[in-house]
Amino acid sequence: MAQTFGQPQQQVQQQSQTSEYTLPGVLHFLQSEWRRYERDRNEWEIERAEMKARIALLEGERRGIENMKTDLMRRVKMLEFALRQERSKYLAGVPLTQSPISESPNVSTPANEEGPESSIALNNTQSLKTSTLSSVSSQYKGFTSNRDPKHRTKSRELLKACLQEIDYLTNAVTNTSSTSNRVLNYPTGLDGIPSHSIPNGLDGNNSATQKLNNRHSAIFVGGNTNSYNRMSPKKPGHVSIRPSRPAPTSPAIVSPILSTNSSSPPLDSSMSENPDAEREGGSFFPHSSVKNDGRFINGEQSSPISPEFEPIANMSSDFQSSLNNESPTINFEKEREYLSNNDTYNTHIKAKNERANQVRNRNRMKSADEMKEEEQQLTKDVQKKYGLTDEKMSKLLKNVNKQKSQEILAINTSSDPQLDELSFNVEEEENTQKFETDKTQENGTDRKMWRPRFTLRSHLDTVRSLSWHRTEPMFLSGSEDGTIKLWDLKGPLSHKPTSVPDIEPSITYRGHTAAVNSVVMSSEQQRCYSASMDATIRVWNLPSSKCDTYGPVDLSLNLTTYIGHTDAIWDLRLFPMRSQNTQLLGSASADGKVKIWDTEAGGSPLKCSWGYYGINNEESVNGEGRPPNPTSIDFVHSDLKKIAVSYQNSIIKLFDIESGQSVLTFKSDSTYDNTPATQINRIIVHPTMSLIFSAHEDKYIRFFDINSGKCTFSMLAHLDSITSLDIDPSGMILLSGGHDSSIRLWDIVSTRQCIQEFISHRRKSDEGVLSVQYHPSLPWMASGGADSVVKIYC
Amino acid sequence: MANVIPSNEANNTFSSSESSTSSPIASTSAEHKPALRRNRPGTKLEDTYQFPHIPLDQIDSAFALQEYLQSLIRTDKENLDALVELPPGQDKETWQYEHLRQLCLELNYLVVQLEAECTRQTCPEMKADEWQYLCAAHPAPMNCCAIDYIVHTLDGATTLLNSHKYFPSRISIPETSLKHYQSIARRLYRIFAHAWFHHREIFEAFENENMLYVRFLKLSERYELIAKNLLIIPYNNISDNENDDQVIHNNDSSEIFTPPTDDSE
Repeated sequence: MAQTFGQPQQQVQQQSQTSEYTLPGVLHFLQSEWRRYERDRNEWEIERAEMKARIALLEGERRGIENMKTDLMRRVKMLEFALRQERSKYLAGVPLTQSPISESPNVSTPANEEGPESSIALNNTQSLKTSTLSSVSSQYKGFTSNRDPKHRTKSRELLKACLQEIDYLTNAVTNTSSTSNRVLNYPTGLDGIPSHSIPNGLDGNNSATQKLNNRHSAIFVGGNTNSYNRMSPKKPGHVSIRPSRPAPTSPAIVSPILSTNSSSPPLDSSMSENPDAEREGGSFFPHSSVKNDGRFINGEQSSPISPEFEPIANMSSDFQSSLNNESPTINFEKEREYLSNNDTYNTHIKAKNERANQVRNRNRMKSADEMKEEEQQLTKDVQKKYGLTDEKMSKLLKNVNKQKSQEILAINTSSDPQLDELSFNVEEEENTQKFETDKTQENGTDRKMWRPRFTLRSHLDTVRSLSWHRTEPMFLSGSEDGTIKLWDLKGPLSHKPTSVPDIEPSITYRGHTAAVNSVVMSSEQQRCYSASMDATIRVWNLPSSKCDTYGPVDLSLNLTTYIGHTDAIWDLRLFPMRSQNTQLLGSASADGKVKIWDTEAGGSPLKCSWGYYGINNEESVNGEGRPPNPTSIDFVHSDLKKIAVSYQNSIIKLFDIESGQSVLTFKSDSTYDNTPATQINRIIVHPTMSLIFSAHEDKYIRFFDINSGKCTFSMLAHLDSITSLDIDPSGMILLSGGHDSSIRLWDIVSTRQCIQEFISHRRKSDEGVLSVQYHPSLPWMASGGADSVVKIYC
Repeated sequence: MANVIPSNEANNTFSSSESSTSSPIASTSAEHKPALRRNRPGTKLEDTYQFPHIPLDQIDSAFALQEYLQSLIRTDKENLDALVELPPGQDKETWQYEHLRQLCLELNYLVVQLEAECTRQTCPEMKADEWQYLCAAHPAPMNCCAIDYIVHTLDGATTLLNSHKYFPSRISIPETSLKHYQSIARRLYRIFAHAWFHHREIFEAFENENMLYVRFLKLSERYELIAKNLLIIPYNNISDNENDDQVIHNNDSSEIFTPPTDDSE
C-alpha cells in the first residue's frame, strides 16, 4: 500500500519540480487518486463483508455447539443420575454381605450406610448401565460377575444403547405425543406409576425424560425390594428420615418451576425409599424441563456456561475420587452436612467413614487403571456421539477440574455432589428468574394483570351500569335501587391501598322512580345521562367542583328529563363525537324503539325514533306478533352515520341515524331458539376496527364484521350468560362480564384467548356481573354486580 | 319440576351446600330455565321481576334474605305480618338489617317525590308537627333544611348500613353494631313524619302505592326499634289498626327537640 501510495507523490514532486501545474493535470491527478481510493475502499468493504460472513458462520457454529453441549450435559446428567441410583442400589445390597456398619444404633442417618455402598457402586459403572436398560433383576443376580471384564464390555454396549435411547428421547422435542407415549408404554411392568401430564404440552422432551426417570426409579424400587427386605431393621428409620431431607435444598427452589410439572409428588411417593433418586427427582427434572422450555423450544441458545459443566465435574470427580482412593462416601457426607449442618453428626459420619474405607478396601473397585479406561471409553463415546473435538472435551474437563478444585478447597474433600446440587440451585434460580421475566414480558409489557383495588359499597341493590369520566378517576354507577351515584376516587387514591376507609359517593342522584338500567357520563358536557325502567332518561349536571357528600341538596343538578319512551329503557350510548352544538344520545327501550336524542338542541331533544323494521316500515311487516325489543345499541365508530342495534331475537341490525332506515341485518341468530334465553344482551363496536362484539345470553361472544354482517368468530366465553362487554382503550382486549360472576379478558387481535379471568362479584338472584368498564384514559377498570357492589381494578 | 331427574337433584343439593359458584350448572339445565330470576335487557317493565316466589331455604345465594324479602314485597306487600315476621331459622338481627336496607332503598323513591315539593323555601327547617330536628350527618349537628336533612339522613343511613366496618357481613351482624338499628330507624322515621305533617298528599300517594310506612311501623313495633313516645304520626290515621296511641300531642312546650344522643357519627 505504501508503495502504490508513494508513486503519485513522486509524480507530484516531479511535476512540481517541473513546475507545470496545469489545471487539467491537477484535476486528472485528483481524479486518479480518488479512483484509487475508491477501489481500495471497495476492497476493504468486500473484505469486511467476508469477515462478517465468517463471523456469522462461526457464530452459527458456536450456537450449534452450544446447543449440542447443553444436549450433552443433559445426557451426562442422566447418566449420572442412573449412576447414583445404581450406587444406592448397590449400597442396598452390599452391607448385608460385607459390612456390619449399618448395625450401628446411631445410624439415625442414612449417610453412613450409603457411604461405603456407594463407593462400591461407583466402581461398578456397569450396574449403572444395566439399570438404564431395564434388565434389573438379571443384573441383580449377576452382581457377583460385575468385576468380570467380559461383563464390562457387555455393559458398555448396554450403555451405548442407553445413550441412543436417551438421544432419541431428548431429540424428540417435536413429536411430543408419540414420544411420550412410546416411553409410557415401555414394558417396564411399572406403568402403574402415574404418568404426569404436562400442562403446557410443549415438551415431549421433558415428559420423555420424566418417563425415563420414572422408569429408572421404578426399576430401582422394584429391584430393590428384596434387598430392602433383607436389610436390617435399620431401614425404616432411614426411610422415615429421608423424605424430609430434600426439603431444604432443591425442592424449595424447584417448586415454583415444578408447579407446572407435577412430577415431583409422584416421584417422591414412588421413591420414598430411594433417597438419591428422590433428590434427583427434585433437582434433575425441573432443571431439564426448564431448559427445554427456555432453550430448545424458544430457540434460545445462550446459556450460562459454568453451571453446565457441573454434571461432568461431578461425574469425573467421582471417578477421580475413586482413583485417589479417597472415600467417595464423603460425597454423601458432604451432602448431608450441607443439608443438616450438624457437627456431631459429621464427626459421627467420619467415624463411620473409616469403617467404610475398610469395607471398601475389600472389594476395592477394580483397579484405578480400569477405572481410567472406563472413563476414557465413556468420554470417547460421548465425544463420538456428539462430534465434540478433543480440544473441546479437554477444555470441558479442565473447566470441570478447575471448579472442582475450587470446591475441594472450599470443602476440603475430593469431590462432592453438593457441588452439582449447588449448581443446580443456581441454575434453577436463574431459570426461575428467567421464567419470571418471561412471564412479565408476556404479561407485563402490553397487558397488565388486573387486581382489585377498591370495593365501593353504597348501592342497596344490583349495580346495572357504570360509566367513567373521560380523564378523571371519577365514574357513575346506576343501580336497581333507583339511584345514580357519582364517585370520585381522587381522595381514596391518596390513601395506601391497605388502609382505605369506606368510600362514600360524592353525590347520589335521585330522580328515577324505578331501577336505573344504564348511565353514561359526558365529560365534555359536564353532564351525565341515566336511563331507567321508569321509561325516562334523566340528564344531570356534574357538580361544579368539590361537592360535599352532606352539603346542601342542589336541585339544579337535575337538568331535565327526556320523556318519549313508553317502557323500560335498557341501553344508553353517547355518540362518540361531539361537535360544537350537537351531542347525540341513543337509547333503546322495551317499547321496541330506538331513539336518538340531541342533547344540545333547544326545544324537543328527540331527533329520530324507529322500531325493528326501521322508521316507516312498522306496518308493512306486521305479520307475526310484536316485533322484538332492542336490547343494546352502539354507534359505529368507523361509520358515524350508523348505529348498531341488537334485538331480543338475537339479531343485530345496522341503522342509518339520519334516516332511521335499516341498512344491514347481521346473521347473528345462529343459536337463537325463540326464547330470551338465547338473546343478545349487549353489543359493542370496536373503536377502530370494523368489528362488532355481541354478548349472548347463551354464553357466546361473537365477532361480526360490520361491513359484511358475517360472524367471523364465535366462542363460548363464560359459564353463564354474558351481560357486559367493553374494549380497552388500545383496542386490543375485550372485557366481558357474566352471570357466572366472572370477568374475563380476551385478546381480540391475535389469539382470541382468555388472558385473565377472575371471579369478582357474588350472585344475587341469578345475576352476577352486570357491568364492566375500562377507564378511557387511565389504567383502571370497574365492574358492577348483583351484589350491589362496585369494584375498581388497577 | 316434579320430573326432575335424580342427577339434577343431586346437582341442586350440591350447589346449595356449596356457594353460588356452582349454580350456573344447575341453572342451565332445562328444568331450571323458567326459574331464572333475572331481568334481561329488552324486558318490558310489566315483565320484570316476574319471578316465582320461592321459599327461603331454596334460595341459593349470599343474599338469600334480601331476595326473600324483596320477593315477599313483590308478591304481597299488604300482608304486613308475613313481611315483618322473622322467617323460621333466621337471625333476628340479619332480618332487621335487610329490612332497614330495603327501607332505605324504597325511601329513595319517597325522596324523589318530596323533592318536587319540599324545598329550601317551603321547608327551611326539618320539622314534623311542632318538633324540629337537627341533622346529625355533620361533625356538629346542623339545622339543615328539611330536604337536606332527609337526603343527608338517608345517605348517612345507607352509608352506615353499607359500612364494611360496622356491617362486614350480611350473614351475621356484630353485637356492637346492633345499637345502630335504633338510631337509623329513629331518624328515618322522621322522614315519614315530615312528609306526613307537611306533605300529606305526597305521603299518602306514596303510601298507597308502596305501603312503606306501615311496614316500617310494623317492623319497629315488632323489634322495638323506636320508642313509642317518638311515634308522632297519629296511629289510626294510617291503617286499620285500633288507636292504641293517643293522637294529640301537646307540643307547645317542646318546640325545639334536639336529639341529644343522635349527634355523633
